[in-house]
Amino acid sequence: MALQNLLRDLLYALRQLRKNPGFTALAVGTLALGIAANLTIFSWINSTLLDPIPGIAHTSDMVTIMRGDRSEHPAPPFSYADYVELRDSSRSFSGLLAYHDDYMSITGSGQPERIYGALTTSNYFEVLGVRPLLGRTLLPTLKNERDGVAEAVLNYDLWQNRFAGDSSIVGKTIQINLHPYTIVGVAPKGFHGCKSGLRADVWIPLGMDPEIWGSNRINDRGVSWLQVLGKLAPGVDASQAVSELNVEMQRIVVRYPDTHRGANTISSDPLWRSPFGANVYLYGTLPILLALAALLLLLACANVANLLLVRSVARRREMAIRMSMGASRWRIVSQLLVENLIIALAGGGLALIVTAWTARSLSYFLPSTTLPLALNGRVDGAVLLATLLVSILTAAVSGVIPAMRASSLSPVSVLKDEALSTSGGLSKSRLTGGLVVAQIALSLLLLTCAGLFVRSLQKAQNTDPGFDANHVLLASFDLDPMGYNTAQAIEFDRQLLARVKQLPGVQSATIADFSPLSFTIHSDGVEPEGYVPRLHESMEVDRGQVGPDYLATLRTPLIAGRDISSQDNASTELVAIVNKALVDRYWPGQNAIGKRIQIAGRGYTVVGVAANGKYRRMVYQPVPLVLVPLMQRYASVQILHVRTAGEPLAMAAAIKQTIRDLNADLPVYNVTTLKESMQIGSVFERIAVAFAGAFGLLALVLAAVGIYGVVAYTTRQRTHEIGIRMALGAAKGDVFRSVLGQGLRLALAGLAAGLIFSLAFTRLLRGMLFGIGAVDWLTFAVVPAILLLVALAACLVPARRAASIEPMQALRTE
Amino acid sequence: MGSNDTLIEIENLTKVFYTDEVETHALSGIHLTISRGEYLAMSGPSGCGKSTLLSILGLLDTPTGGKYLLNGNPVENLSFGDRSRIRNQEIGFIFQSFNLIGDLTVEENVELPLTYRAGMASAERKKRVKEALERVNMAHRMRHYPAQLSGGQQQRVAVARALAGSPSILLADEPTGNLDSKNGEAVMHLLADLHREGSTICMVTHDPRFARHAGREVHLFDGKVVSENELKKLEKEAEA
Repeated sequence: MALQNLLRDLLYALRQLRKNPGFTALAVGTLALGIAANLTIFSWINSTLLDPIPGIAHTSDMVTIMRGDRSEHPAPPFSYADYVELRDSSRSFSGLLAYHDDYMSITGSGQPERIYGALTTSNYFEVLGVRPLLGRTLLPTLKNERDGVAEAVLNYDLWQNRFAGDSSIVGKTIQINLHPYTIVGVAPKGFHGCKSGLRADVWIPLGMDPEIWGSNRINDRGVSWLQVLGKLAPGVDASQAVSELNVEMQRIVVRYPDTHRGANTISSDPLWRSPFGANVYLYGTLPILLALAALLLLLACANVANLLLVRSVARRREMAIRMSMGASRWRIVSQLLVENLIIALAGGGLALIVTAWTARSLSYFLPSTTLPLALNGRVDGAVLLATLLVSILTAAVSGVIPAMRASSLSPVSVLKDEALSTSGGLSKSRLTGGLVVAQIALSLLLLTCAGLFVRSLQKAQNTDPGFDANHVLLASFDLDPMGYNTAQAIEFDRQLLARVKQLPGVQSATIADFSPLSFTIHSDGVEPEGYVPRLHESMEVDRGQVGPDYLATLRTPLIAGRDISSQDNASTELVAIVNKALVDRYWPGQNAIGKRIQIAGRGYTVVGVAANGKYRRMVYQPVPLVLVPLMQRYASVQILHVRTAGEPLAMAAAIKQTIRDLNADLPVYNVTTLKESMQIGSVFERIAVAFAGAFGLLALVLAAVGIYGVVAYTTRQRTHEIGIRMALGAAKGDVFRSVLGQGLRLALAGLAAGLIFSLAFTRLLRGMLFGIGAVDWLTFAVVPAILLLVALAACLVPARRAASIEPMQALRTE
Repeated sequence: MGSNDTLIEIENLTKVFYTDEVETHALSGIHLTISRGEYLAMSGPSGCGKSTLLSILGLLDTPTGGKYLLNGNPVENLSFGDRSRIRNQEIGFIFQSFNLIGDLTVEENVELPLTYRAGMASAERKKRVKEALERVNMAHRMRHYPAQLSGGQQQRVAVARALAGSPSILLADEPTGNLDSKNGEAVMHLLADLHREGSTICMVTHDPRFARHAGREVHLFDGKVVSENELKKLEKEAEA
């Protein structure tokens, strides 16, 4: 019986919706907008925070292990020796893996191809529970990892793109950084390594570090270069496991105090907010965007609820007939809810189609970069389930009140079509008015958030970054894969800079192992002369390896001392430049020139103090920085910085040709301007601005449509009343002001409520804002003013229409 | 131009409605004079044009042709704004269906025409409202909403609203049409009392019992003023 009723309701609902295509399209479209906004953000959350390491079975029992101070950009926290002791002593983890990732090159055939790879402990795939698509993973039984084995596991995409999915790839050889490696397996599709949002193309045993990067870090307890992930043993919680690691870590610190100065406290993070990878930037932004999208959906629901309320007036007679024939109130409500469920499901379906496209829009915000980003949303089972749940929820939120309202009429009076002795009714428009007030309040909240994000980005972009980003061309290259030793590479750099500086239109040039605001700067532990670290104080600072005239080329003001020069080489005293923030922190009120500073275990003399600059993100405050000469501490991956007199990209061909003249086979990557490259440094702010802005604009449109709809509807309902007023002497202006006043009252009530919501909610954004507080008076003044103007504009048409009614015609209207 | 006692004077008034190329002559050459203090009843069968005439008299509608002098001033070609002002100051309406505004209290309904009058102080408005409601014995229901009153009480409030602005004339369109006979009689007695107190009243009715309360009766048939005998004859012819 119930099923029959449901089927009948479904068929009737479909007929009703087909009969009113305008209403159906408006309601479906409105809900689709709101649902699509939520699905888009959810698809991103689903593929980043909820699935931080795609391809592994369970992420809930995996944690990132961290040592020392917590920040958004920590350096790898563990040495190999420390990792081994922690791994071997721990009973709380069923497995602890370690890895180090960086750029490498596939060499051997034609031009080297730059890839991003990870050196991993042999238990890497076992701990992650990742089984290979082809062959095997790295040998988990390898006891002495220090020796290493020249074998590699390929990423599925690399296997497809470089080796055309060769099914007999296992056993073949691949040359990486000039050394041959046997391909032992191919990772499953979708697995990109264990750093959220970043892609590793190849996995190689940790012991191959000397062959890949010419380093002996694996045998040096003083070098922290590994990131560690742990899989909790069954029944053990993270805090328990961390306590156990801390006990062992303190034993290590006591045994090796010289290599463990500063902060050594162990902490852990679930993968969704791991400090390594993109999630550290996303876990603050995406939930806020989802909250804004949810507000937009609520706004869409209010709009549809208003449409349904208006429609319910037109269907009063139908409902009265049904009730007079014995339909219970519940029966009427369920029939109306079925209609609304169909609307919401259609909206959800439409939203899903839109989301198939918008889910991938995350990558549109990412500028061209050498970073191995693997960030994007996707539509999968979880998104489909979310679509269904959100659609049902939407149907309930937007439909229940109108359905209850429509079913609360008195059938007798409706059927008698009672003569109206009075015009209007006390509660007739209260509900629709209340919904409009809620819409305006929600719109104000969304617009305020959007305004705050826009102002914050503006502030960040207008802030002096500490260097002149205009007219600077960047070009990256990597000499190691081409067989250069350090002396040859330094000579190559010297010749390159000399030739580039001779090019017409070039004002100056330098080389560095990073470029500002592109997530390429590294960090090192430092020991400034005379400074005693506080207990557990992190001594990690930003560190750049730079060529001669770095400050001059970047136009970073020199406060004291000198710039790095071509005289600073391997045979001269180790020197460093520090920034003002470093001086203020470690040597406040002192002359830093001539002071000694240990950087990654080597002693340097400070020869210059530079003004503060921004090197990681525009929204960060300046932090301590050391710059050391590239000729004294060589880095294989280098970025040529060329300051030009004119348009930098116009020099790109000449710069490439100059590099080719020195080595025709050396691949040059990422030839771009510094300004373009810096875009990645504000990518999360731009995502927030774009989406909060889009949601704000949609909210504005929905609020305008909502207020127009309600004022137009209630004005039509008031036609007779307006006739009475005119009969009593109301002029056109009185009627116009009366209708406008009605809209204005709703708008002001909505703005008042919205301001209260905004003051409460925007506090949550405080951490995401730069240069402004959560209560930015300009935003809080301009946004309500815009909304008020839009609300007034939305009321103008019904107000003019009402004022032009002929009194006799109005009086005849029932 | 009429004498000083003449409040309304209309000459050769016509009203034609145009719908889908069809001309409907609602009023055809009406001549009518209403003196101050007069109580006039307009009667006639449905569709004879009495409500149209009342709308034109009340400046709710404009004539197609003819002259209309109110207080000696021509008003047939006034702007919308001037018509609104004169309607507010000179005319009080009493409708068949009361036409009270449901969202306003009795007091606010009666005050409504005064709110459209520029420059009237709030205290003055309150005083007039109170007086008007006292005249119709409804002062004790000031805080009530129309829906809380009986039909007769609602019509008395409507009368108070018409009186509050001290208009030159009260125009009543079938004021008893929505009332039972007892309440209808009460309203007619109220109008008679107001007339005795000096009010000028023009009432449309099709009920001869109520028309007899007026001092003068004007009969309309097919948009023309006719004598009582003529009306009877024409009605017989129409029935035949």
